[in-house]
Parts: sequence; C-alpha cells; structure tokens
Amino acid sequence: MENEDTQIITEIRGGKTSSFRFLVEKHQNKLYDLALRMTRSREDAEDIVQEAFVQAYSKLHQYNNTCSFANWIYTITLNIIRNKLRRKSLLSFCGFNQTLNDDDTQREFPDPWQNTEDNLDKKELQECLKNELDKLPLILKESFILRHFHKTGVKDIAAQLSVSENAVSMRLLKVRKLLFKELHPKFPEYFKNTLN
Amino acid sequence: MNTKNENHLETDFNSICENTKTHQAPDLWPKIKTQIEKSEKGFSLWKQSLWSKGLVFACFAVIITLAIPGATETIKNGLKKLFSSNYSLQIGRSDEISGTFIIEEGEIKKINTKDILVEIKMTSLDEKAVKINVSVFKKQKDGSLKLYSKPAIVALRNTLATISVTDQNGVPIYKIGLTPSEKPAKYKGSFQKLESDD
Repeated sequence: MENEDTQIITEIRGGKTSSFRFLVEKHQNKLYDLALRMTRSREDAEDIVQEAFVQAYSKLHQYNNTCSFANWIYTITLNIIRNKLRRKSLLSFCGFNQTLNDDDTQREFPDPWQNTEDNLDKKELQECLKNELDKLPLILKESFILRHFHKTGVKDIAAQLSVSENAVSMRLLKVRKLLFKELHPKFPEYFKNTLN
Repeated sequence: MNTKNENHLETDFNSICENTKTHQAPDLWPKIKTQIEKSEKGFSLWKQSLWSKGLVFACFAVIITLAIPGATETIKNGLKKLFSSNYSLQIGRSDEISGTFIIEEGEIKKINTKDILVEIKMTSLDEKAVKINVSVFKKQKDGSLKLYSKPAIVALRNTLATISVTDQNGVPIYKIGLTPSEKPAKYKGSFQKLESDD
C-alpha cells in the first residue's frame, strides 16, 4: 500500500501530475470521515479534505519517505481541522443536531439489522458515544476517532499527531475512562469485559 | 482501573465502534484539480509563506511612504521629543532674566544677552532623565565669540537644574536654571524669542 503511494508520488514528481488523482481517490474517504466526525459538518469536511490535498500537492517536494503518505496527509488534514475548529469556535461543543440533519444520521449509520432490539440499543449507544465525544477536548477526540473508528495503530497515530506513542496511549486511556464513566451507567451490557 | 480493565475497555470500545461505516466522500477530485490549476497559474509571489508575503508588503509600504516628498523628514521629526523649560539666567551680578522656551530634542536654542551667548541642547535619556548640554560664549569686541565654558548635566524632568560658574575668587560669572518637562507629541506652541538686549 505504502509502496504504491511512493510510486505514485515518484510519477508526480516526474511530471505526471494527473497521477495525483489516484492518491485523492485512495485517501479521500478516510480523511473525509475524519473531518466529518471532527467538525460535524459536511461542507466543512469537504472543504478541509480539498484544502488538505491542495496543500499536499503544493508541498509534495517537501515530502520525504520517512513517514507514509497516509500519515503525512492525515497530519495535514488534522492541522486544517484544528485551525478550522478554532476559527469557527466550534471545537467539540457543537451539538449533533445543530450541524447534521436527519439525512446525515441515516447515512452515518446505515443499519441493516434495524429490526432487532439489540441493534437498536447499539445504535442508541453509538449516538450517545458521538454526543459524548463532542464534549471532549479536541486532542482526546481525534485520538479516539483514529484508534476506534479508523482502526489506526498507536504508532501511526503518534506519527499523525506528531506526539510520542506514550502520549497517544495516555490520551486513549483518558478518553476511554471518560467515555466509560458516561456510557457505562446507561449501557452496562456493552462493558461486560471491563466489569469482569 | 487496572491494566487488565484498561485493555478490556479498549476491547469494549472496539466492539462498540466496529459496525460504524466510513463516511463516503463525494468525488472531490474535480474541485481539487481546479484549485491546484489555479494555484499553479498564480504568481510565484503568492506561493510564498504568509510571513514572507507580509514582509514584502511591509517593504513596499515603507518604500512608498519614503518616496512621498517630505515624508522622511516628517517621520524623523515626529519621533523627536518636545520639551518646554522654564529658564533663568543671571550674568555676573546683573539682574536675572527668566522665561519659558520650547525646544525639540537635539535642537540648539540660543539665549542672547549683551555680553554672553548661551546655547542649550536637550536630549532625552529615559523616562526620568534629560541630558542638557550648555555652551556659554563670551562676545568679543570684534564681534567674534569665545567659548567660555561647555558644561553638560543630567537633569530630572520637571525638576529645577542649576548650573553656576564662578571665577577663582568666587565671583559669579553666570548662573543658569532650567526645568525641563516633556510635552506630548501633539503639543503645539509658538517659539518664544529668547534674545535679550541686556
């Protein structure tokens, strides 16, 4: 995967700029998902991803292969997200309903098992989780999204956030404890492992 | 919460988040392509970082300002401090003359009497102190000036500073009292004629 990105970047540097499209198509969904989860606004998420790719293209000469392109573009995107959130004073305190409409909710959790009681309950839990995430500081929220929604390893998160692996582990530990404290009383059945 | 529970917490949250689907982005390539093409067509100047743009802008602004006739002089004068000072001057045992004059920092003011010419220059040292340079010239019969003494003192603002010179017998030659006080930049006042016919 990384080799593929490196090869494309080599092609772009060699003058075949149209190859940048492959990088955009490959990474745009995850970056868009990250931006959307952080900003809770589709328009902002689109703007952020576009800006991130434009910045990446213009700074491609600065990119070295010491980190993967994915980590590099994540770092750029996260910086833009932080700036945007600071600028708009959104941070993570905006309510879900203020920026996403019903249609967004449907698209976020397409639920093939909607008829089962168990999954209705889980959907409610996920909804609560999102709301609780919105209340958290930015640095905790981004760590949680990267780890649990994007399944990113601690090492890669550290590279993307430009912090140590220890710092990431501490942030994850803190955010999980905070979320556990809020969610466990309402949904104890989902924390059976922890209670054992 | 112990390490075992911490690990379990991770497992629990993995389980809670496992069915969430990644949001699908709309096709962003056309917009990204347009933006890239726009930025490539732009001036190379605008590709520079923000601080360098600011620096270039500032340089242009300075050059334009300095190019305006008289602007440099106006700026230079604007930076000068303005002092007003009560003064008193006594030559020998004659009567004392006194008054007030306004002087710009670095400017030389003259107090002209029948036999003596006194030049005064004030320089601001800090918020409290002012350096006063005084040159006292004795007028010769042929009209030329002979430097008699050139004392320099550091005086406190709004405080009377006195320079007194006597000969070897203790007979006073001249005595100057000055009370420098700084005026605000917007202060306006007419310059008082300091020449005296005494």
